[in-house]
Amino acid sequence: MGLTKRNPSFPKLALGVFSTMTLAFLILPIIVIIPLSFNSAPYFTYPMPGFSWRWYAEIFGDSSASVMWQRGILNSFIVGISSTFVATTLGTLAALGLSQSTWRYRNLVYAVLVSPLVVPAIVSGLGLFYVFAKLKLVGTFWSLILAHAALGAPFVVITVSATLKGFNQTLLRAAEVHGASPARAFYEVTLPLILPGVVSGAIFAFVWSWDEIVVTLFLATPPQHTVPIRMWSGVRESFNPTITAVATLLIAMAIILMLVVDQLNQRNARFNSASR
Amino acid sequence: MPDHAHDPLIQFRKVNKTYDGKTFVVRDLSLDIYKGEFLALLGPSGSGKSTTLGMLAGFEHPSSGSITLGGKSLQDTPTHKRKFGMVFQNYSLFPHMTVMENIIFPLRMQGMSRKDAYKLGQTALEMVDLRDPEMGKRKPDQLSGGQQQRIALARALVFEPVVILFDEPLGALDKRLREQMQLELRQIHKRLGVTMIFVTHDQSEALTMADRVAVFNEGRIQQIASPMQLYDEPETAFVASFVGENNKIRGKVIHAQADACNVELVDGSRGEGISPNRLAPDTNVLVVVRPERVVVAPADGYGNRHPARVNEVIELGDQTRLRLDVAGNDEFLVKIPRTRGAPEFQIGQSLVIGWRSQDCRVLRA
Repeated sequence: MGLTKRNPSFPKLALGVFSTMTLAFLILPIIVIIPLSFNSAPYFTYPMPGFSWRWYAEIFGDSSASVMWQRGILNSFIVGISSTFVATTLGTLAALGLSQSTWRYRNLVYAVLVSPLVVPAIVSGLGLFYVFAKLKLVGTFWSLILAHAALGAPFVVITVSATLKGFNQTLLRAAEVHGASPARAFYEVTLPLILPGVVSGAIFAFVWSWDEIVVTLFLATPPQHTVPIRMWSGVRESFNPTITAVATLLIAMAIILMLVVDQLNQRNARFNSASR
Repeated sequence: MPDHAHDPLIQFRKVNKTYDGKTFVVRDLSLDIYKGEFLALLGPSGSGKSTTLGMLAGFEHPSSGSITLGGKSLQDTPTHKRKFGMVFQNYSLFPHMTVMENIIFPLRMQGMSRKDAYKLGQTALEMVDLRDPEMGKRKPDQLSGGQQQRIALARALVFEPVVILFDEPLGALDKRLREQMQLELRQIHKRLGVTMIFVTHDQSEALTMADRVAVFNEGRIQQIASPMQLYDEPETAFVASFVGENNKIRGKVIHAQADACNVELVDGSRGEGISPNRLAPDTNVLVVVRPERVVVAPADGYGNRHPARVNEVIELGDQTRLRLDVAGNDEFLVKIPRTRGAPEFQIGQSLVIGWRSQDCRVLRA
């Protein structure tokens, strides 16, 4: 009797400790950055002497360094938004086409479309550099936008394909028989129902674009340098805590966007269960 | 009621459908559908009934042959311009729209303003007996299967289409609800006079609801007739076994005159019946008779008399069912109305049974 009841909570406790440690390992490196961005002293050390907004002021001020950061942020937005737009449009169309295709090589096409996820960035970067150099596009925003679009599209293809798996094709028949042209049926029925997948994919592509550094290093000249490249050069050249403020802003943006994705997934799950 | 006096509303002419050029899903189908009728397309799965409906809706296209609506070919009319209402098996309501938005969808597609559409939508809701004033604001996933199917019906009839198509719409509902919906659909059909084409694999559903039933098997229409005609006068062995219960005994035609014929059964005994296809002597046939048309100890005037042995006796409240051994068929079923004081049957007992020749169908085996 005592044997069977001896340690009912031990496995639970072990699991708790292990999980906490794993989570801490994942999240601590991110967490430690945040307080440092409010450090009044220009060191990456604890304990901090005092609280200050000075590193944020450094980003948004009008010194030459500030202008560099602002330019980087602007570039990241230009490349991020444009490439996300291209990746989302093409990725959604590709997922729609693949979901309706009965072609025997459709899985191969799918694999090619998502391959940028597994191809090392340095290989993609080298290849793109070679192609864009021939086209005389290196050092232009076009090359960055196209490269980020191609490498961000897999996220859209994957998320939209997942949404389409639960999509009841009879809904389109119901729309068409009741007077909707195929295009109208797409806007009235398909698009609203796959929208969570489209937006999730777009957010992933956008966040990825903001994070991308390897391919961008190959293709960008200083006028196109994005935030990650500025940070990378910043770390190499001087130990300036401004970078922690930038990092904190990036973390905040990522968290907000991921919360949006989570909301969308819940919405999607509800529609899918309802349409079956 | 169907309006047979006028030209058919919809005509299928020699329609074939094949996906691979070898096997035919629908074969040489010719079918006239009249304005205002309730036509059931009945058959087992894979018999071609749903494909036929799909071709009418424009989801699929005939490999050859023509389909006309009001005398005009539908060949180049895409689905959204055919102006049919349709109810699907899995409801197929748009999950992101409210009930009311679902119902007025066809009206909006026609370009009607939301305000006008809402009025008609409200009427449609009442027609399908959903009177809860909050109903229109709900989402489909908050409703029961029966309610969802009523809304799908409201969506199909809100724009007053000439024809409403039903693709096994009651298949997902439980038995009690299904029977209730059958009666309501019948009533709506009577009230609106709309042409309804109803695909089902449930023969009792088809017989309950339809003015005419087209029985499908292996891509062909076996017979089109009123439910009672289908029951009393099946023209093929498939119809005889698919619609209601029937006894079948193997035999051969020995003499035929017009549609009356004499047959020899497998055990060498003789009988007579109606041969709707006027089969020639020596044709191998099935002799078919309904269990309730068979009598025990027949009086004179019965064209068929056979010795039988009782294999099983099942007493139900209103009837006695006997399973007999008759002319080599040991599953021969007889239904006799139960009366108090009637003699009881014993297993192993020998009987003489009989049936009239007009109740007996002789069909190609």
